[in-house]
Amino acid sequence: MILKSFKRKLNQFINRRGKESLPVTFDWRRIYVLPSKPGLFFAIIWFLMMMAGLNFNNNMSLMLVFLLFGLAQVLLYRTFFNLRNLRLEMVTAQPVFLGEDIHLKVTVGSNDPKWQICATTGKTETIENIPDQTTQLTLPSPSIHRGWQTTPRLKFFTRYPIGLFTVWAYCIPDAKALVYPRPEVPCPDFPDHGGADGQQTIAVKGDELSSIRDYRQGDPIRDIAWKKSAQSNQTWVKEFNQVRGKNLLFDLTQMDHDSLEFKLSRMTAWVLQAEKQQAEYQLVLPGFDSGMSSGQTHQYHCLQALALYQPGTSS
Amino acid sequence: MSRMTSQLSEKQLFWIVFAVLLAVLPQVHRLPIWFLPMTVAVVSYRFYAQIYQLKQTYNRILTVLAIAAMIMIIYSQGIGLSREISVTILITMTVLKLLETYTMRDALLVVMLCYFVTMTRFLYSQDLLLVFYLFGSAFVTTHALSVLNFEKTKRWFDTSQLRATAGSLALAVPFAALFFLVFPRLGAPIWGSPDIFGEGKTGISDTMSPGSIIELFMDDSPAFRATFKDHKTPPKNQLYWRGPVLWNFDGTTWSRKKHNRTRTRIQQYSERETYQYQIELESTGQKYMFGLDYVVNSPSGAFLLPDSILYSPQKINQLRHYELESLLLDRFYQPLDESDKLLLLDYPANQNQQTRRMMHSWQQETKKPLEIINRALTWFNQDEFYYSYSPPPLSGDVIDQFIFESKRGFCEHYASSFTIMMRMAGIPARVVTGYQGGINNGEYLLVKQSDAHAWSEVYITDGDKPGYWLRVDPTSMVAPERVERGSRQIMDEKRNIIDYDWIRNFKESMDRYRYRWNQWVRDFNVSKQQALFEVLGIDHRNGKTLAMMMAGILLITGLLSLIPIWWLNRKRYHTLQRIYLELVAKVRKNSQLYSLKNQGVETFVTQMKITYPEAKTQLNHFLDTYLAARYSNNANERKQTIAHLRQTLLKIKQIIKH
Repeated sequence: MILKSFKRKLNQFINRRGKESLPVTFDWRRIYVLPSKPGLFFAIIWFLMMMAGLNFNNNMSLMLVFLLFGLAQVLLYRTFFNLRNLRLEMVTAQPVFLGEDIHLKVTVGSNDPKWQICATTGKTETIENIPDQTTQLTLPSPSIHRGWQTTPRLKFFTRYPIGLFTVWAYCIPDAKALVYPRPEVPCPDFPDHGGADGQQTIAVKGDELSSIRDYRQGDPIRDIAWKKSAQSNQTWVKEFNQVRGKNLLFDLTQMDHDSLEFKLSRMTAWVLQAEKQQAEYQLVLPGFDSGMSSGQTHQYHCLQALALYQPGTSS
Repeated sequence: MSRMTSQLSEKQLFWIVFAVLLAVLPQVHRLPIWFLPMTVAVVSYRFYAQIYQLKQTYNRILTVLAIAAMIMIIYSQGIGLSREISVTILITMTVLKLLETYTMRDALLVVMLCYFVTMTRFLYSQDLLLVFYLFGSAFVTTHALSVLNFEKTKRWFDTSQLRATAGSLALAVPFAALFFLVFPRLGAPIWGSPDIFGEGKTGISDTMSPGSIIELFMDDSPAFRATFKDHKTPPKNQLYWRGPVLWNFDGTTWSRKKHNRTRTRIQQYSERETYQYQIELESTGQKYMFGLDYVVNSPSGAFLLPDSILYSPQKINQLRHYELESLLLDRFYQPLDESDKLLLLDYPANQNQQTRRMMHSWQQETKKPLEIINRALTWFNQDEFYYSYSPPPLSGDVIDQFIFESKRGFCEHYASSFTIMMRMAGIPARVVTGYQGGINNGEYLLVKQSDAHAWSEVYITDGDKPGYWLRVDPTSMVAPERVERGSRQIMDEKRNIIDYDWIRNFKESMDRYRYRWNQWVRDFNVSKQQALFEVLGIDHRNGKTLAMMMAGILLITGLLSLIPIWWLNRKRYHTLQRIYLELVAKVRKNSQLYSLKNQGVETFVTQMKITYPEAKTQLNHFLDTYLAARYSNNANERKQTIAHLRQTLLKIKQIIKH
């Protein structure tokens, strides 16, 4: 209990600066220093050596002992200076689909060469050297929810040159990453609920039997290939295709499912599939209409709308 | 932590093995004979496994190996917790640990243990030359840690990283020196005693058997150093440093008599006759201390036995200093018991009959002891006796063989034969071992192991007058230069392959540094530290003052080592940046413009053109030249461009000033 509240207090203290706009330079006020695990082991051995040296008043042993103590002090400074004045210049991230890792592109810079700068979000670490001016390092961070996701607290630490001390600094950069809904896999068939005529011909669900495939959740019962399913252990579904010269309309309100996330996920898959087939498509959400189009920008707009859609925001 | 379980590279392994070998090998001569082959096998296997990427052997095999090593240690050194055994166990296990050093964690453990193993070397010896070993081993071990932490390049000897390690160590030195002087020392050990860490050198022992002194002739290491007060040094042929006095002879070996009394101080003497000196005795592992014949009184912490030997209650396993006062007497008056007298007249009755007959015949001719002594010395002097360091080996009736057959030998043979001859002639006599001579090394006299010597002492009684001891050195009859110039001078053949004069001279002059080293470092202890504190005016008895001082020193040395590091890490501008900053400095007073300085040269110059339209052309030119220099790859061309840029800057400055 006490430990928990202490941890909370500690975190409050560490995060006291809140979100910070970049660039941020890590000056001495924000740098933490503690011995590392090997450093603690070094301290134990050093202490034993000192006790032996003092006990027997063995002067050369004591010389070695004090040399090592001086060395530890010098290394402490070296490690500290290796992190001091590190600049966190930019944090960017490409949009990802929910479930994928956000790859934070972290640009760090420094006026003097820095070695073995390690960045971490808590789970994964990336080590980079900054021999000259700036370096970019990639830091994977898990995507947690759809929409804008704020960057987690970043920790930059270094143990260079010997590894006896860990010197670190925290920063919560004011940067965010867009997380699209998780696309449904495999992509379900396109819906058949209207849309303007178009010039392109694309395959949608129709009358002609084209193939047989595994059963997926949501397949209508009338499509099940009963005969074949009876012969095997699996349930097979007949797939009907029809070539139609129609454009695609994906409308959230016309979908019939309880879970909003499920619907968004399916629509994301449709958008991706339609873009892949280079079809024209239109996305309609309450309060958003993409218009009929195709292309990278259009896809981006649609995916962003899907990512940021909040049920209460319909006009 | 993934870092801790990551596999080692070949370069890392090389540095680990280097550190381990450097820590371990200086002690190899003390370790059991199987240690070196084992180390070679372990290291070769480990490299083989690294190159062919073999996995770590089964733990069971490693356990068996470790147990086998323990059994070997017990077999070679016995069981117990002595210093020898514990150091051997530590060293053996450090080497064996290499077999399971595959990950970072084990590697760090092994390398840090190397510091400890290096330290154990100093428990045996604290010689001056070992200071190089100290720094060398500390450097390699620290560099191994550095390489474990980060490999800057794949090169095995990366100069920049080596230099960084050396720099860190160098910065640590002033800190170490200060702490060495002021870190509070212990007056007495908390456990054990420093004596258990003897340095294992033996000088003269308390027995003399054939060949025991010849070993010392081969050894040029210092036995002790004597510093005479007011540089009042006795003549060389008077420098008889008395060691164990040997009473008993069993036919081959001389041994000493056990005493249960002490000798009293010499009463009647004048201050002017005495020599006062301090002796710095190297550790011997024995209890004898040496003094110039005859010491007036025992120094503190030692007894003066009836035969004028200085005897320490503890073994001398550390450098020891003591003050002495001696009288160079040629006759030392001392009463002698009847029992002692009988002891000094004893010899193996059924041996050396030829010598015995000769001595009896001499005894028939004269009863005066001094005449018999002189006759014996003349015998040694005139007959075909030679001083030789490689005499033929003797056995059986050794005295007979020596006197009548081989006639070749050194002090040991002469002293031993002469003493027995005297006993046969009814004159009490004994053998004195010790050192003779010494090299004047400026402020002190260096006595080396190779100055070991043996001579005789006879007890003269003349009627009712008190009896006295008379020193007789039969060797000086055969080889007077031995006493005049030192043992080494009369040897013709080299003792070993590197026995050259210049090496000996170098060693002797090196000893001067060793002497300083002993004074300042090796023998630094709580009393010297207190003397230092008193000089500095620090109250060393007050714990609070000491703690404050330690904290202060920590702070000061901390700041001191901070300065060079800070300086090395200072912001450095290249030439172009400096020129740009000069331009910026010109407009320092215009705060609005000045604040734009971090937005790049282009933005800044554009704004500057608006503020100073009169310098527009020059500023344009400045920008062009600047960019040309910034992105030029040709070093020569770049130099010219920068020179041109400087001129442009000057022009701008002039224009703006107007």
